[in-house]
Order: sequence, then structure tokens, then C-alpha cells
Amino acid sequence: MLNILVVDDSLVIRKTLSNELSILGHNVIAKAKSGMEAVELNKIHMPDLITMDITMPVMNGIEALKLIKKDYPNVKIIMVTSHGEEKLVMDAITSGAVGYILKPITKDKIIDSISKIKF
Amino acid sequence: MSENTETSIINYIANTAESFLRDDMNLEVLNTSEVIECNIDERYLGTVMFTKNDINILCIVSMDKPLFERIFKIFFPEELDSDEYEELKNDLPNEIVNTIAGLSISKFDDKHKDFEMSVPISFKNSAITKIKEKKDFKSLEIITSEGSLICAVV
Repeated sequence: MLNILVVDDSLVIRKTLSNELSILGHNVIAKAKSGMEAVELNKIHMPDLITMDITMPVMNGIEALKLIKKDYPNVKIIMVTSHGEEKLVMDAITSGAVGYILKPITKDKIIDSISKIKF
Repeated sequence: MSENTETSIINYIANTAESFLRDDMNLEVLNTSEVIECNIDERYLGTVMFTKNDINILCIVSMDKPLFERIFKIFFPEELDSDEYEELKNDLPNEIVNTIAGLSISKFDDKHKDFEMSVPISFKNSAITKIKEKKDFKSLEIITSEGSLICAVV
């Protein structure tokens, strides 16, 4: 079981992702609506894994990823995106993300992404 | 924006929307055709902006009530309290346009590459409200077994 921080500006995604992760036996310890909030909640909860939306207002997921990885290099971060755009995904991967989930989110995609992470 | 760009982009979006409805929502797609007349006041809609250099394209995805309610139940089959239901009802059209438009971008051909996509734009925004007065939408309607989804670019 992993302790997971879910980050997405969309309530729909926060809820669907949290529901699916809970069904899979994981513990969603916190949910953030923005990159800024993710940075703060990561400090408080120290999750094993963060699911991070890429496109968010104020601070996007890639900026938040870079800030979090700078101080907490061991935390695993999976990007969640609707973009098949290689540039954004590659930017996230080269900045330390361990994978990505392409929307729409399904249980199989979550299982597949988490199973590829080496903890 | 040229007529060709509008036509190309609406076709990419409609193709992605068809896949979303058929493959992800498991709905039967019956027909796709140009929209003759549509009152967007009566529909659930989400909007994003595609931008590249000085080109701005507004992408709108809207659903009629039966289709929206069916998709809502697919996303959230569980019982919801009324506050959460209202919040999710307002957010779901944004998430649907975000998914469909985001997946469409990756399929754009070389001529239409490098567009960036905004976060979903609230329909309450006054700039978006002006589109209601425009008549020159490029739009396609996808009819499913559960209702209709319209994709439009302005």
C-alpha cells in the first residue's frame, strides 16, 4: 500500500483518481488543487507517490515537480495529462517524473503506471 | 484563422470525441454531421483555448442533458451529497473538453503543430459569453445512443 498525494485542479480527476487508488488498496493521504498546494502538502505528508496534473493555473505540474524533486529527490511522481504532446511529457520525465497516465483515467492505466515504478 | 485550419481542427476534435464516447464511455456512436442549429444555453459545455503565435482558437465541447447525465453516471456511479454533486456537475464538462482537446492536439498534422492549450475556461467569463452571439461556428454534432455531443471551434 502506498501513501499517495493526488494533485489536480479538476475536482472530477481528484475524485475519480482517489476512488480508483482506494479501490486498489492505496491510501490517498491528501489532495491538492494546484502546484503550489502540492509543494506544501508534500512537505507535510511526505507521500510515497504523487500523481501530478501537468496543466494547472498559477503553478503547473512541471514547475511543482521541479520544486518538489529539488528538496525531496526520492519522492516518486507520476504525471497525469490529457496531452499526448511529447514535449511536455519529455520535460516532465527529464525533470524527474517516473511515468505518466494519459487521460481518461482507468484502473488499468493506474495499475500499469504504478507497477513500473521501482521503490 | 483560415477556413482550412478550422476544418482540420474540428475534424481532429470530432474524431477524438468519437473515440472518447465509443471506447472510453462505451456508448454507441450513431452519426456525425454538421450542426444546422443549436441553442448552447440548453447544453452542458466546456471550453479551452488553443494558441499559437497570434492565432487563438476557442474549442467548445457541449452535451445535451441526457448524454451529460449518462456520462456523469459513468464517472460517478456512487451516491453523492448535493454539494458535491453540484460541484462535480459544474466541473465535468471542463474535464471532458480538457481530455478531448488535449488528446486531439497530439494528432494535429505538421501544419497545425505547436498549438498550446489553456486550462478550461469558465463559461461565466464575459469573453466567452460573446461567442453566444457569433453565428459562424465550425461545428460537428456526434449523435450517440444516449444523446448528442457538439464540438465547435470559433
